[in-house]
Amino acid sequence: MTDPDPDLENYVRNTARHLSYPPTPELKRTVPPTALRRPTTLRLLQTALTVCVLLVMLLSTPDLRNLLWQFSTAPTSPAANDLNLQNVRQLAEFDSRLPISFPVLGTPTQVIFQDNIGATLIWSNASGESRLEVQIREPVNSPSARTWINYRQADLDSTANNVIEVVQLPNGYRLVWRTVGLIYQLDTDLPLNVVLRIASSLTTGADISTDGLQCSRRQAQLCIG
Amino acid sequence: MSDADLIVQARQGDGTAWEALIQQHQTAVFRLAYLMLGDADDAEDAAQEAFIRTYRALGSFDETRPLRPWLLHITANVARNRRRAIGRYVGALKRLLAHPEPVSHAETESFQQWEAQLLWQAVRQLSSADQEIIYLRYFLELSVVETADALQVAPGTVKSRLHRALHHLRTVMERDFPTLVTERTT
Repeated sequence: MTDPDPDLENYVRNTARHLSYPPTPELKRTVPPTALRRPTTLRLLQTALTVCVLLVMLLSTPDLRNLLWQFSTAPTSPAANDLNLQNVRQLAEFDSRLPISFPVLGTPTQVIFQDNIGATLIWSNASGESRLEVQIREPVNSPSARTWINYRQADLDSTANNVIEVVQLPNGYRLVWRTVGLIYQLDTDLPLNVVLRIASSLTTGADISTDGLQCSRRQAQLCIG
Repeated sequence: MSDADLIVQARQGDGTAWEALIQQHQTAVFRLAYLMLGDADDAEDAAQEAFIRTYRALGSFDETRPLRPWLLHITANVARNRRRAIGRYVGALKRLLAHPEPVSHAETESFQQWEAQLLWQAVRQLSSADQEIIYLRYFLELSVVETADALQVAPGTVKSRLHRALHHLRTVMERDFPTLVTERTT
């Protein structure tokens, strides 16, 4: 029962032969092979070469190169609420090192990052009062790094690394010093010998005893190495 | 030169070989598209598209197999897609089902042409699958093996589908085209 009805089959075939169709158009004229060709390997190579040449031309122009570099390295700021020490370390691209001395300090209560100021780490007491504030930033327009001490502009000599400016504040101290490529500013109401140990461990990453260190109230030389 | 030779040359970018292949098969391709779409302009567009697709797939085609069934398979796909996408044919078919357009004997050059036109109208009332197999086997006169190749089914399946399609066609003829039944029996 799977073979078609032979009579009907013959009738359909014979009748269908008489169907008049519109004239067949000349399709070879409308489907030119040149329009169908896929990009050849040679053409792909030519395109790749052109892209390379353009890229080299772009990168050989200092302004364009700097612009591209800025775009490719620009950090993405997280939302203010999400900011934490980890974010700040990523954004700052410099080591926002925590002081090793007095580990009881723990991680900062608050962290702030501002493009022109740098990273600010704040440790507060239970009442929310700031006890220790560390600001770390990269010097702008070196070699002479500028900062403000008691409302006066001060220049930090780029060659005089680790020379600490110690300033007596009404309720504590401000310490400002410079290491290779970074400026630290530390505001606190902690005792000076404690602050110096904190500053030392911030800079060197080691807990250096300052017991025998002679620190003037104006300036102190940290014992590095 | 055989299709296989032309395919090999066309693959290597020989435009003349490709044109020769088009020339050889354009009538079957255009006619299948015309039967399925019912409009010469649509059929020309579909035929063009079918050749373009064929050319692009030429690299994967086994040139030892006959080209025509494969070409018609692509054409049927293109025509089916166009019919679905445009929806034009569906609308026309619905109208046709509601009020079959009478074909006047005077409009055709001969009695056989008029009868063939009526037969086509009857076939167009069938399902797409029934139409396609009837067009391939009886209107384009492909062998059972070629039809199986074009539909990508086994030859046995072609026979059973033809049996079913002709049964459906007979029902349509008896219901809506009694003239065809009369002509067939005379």
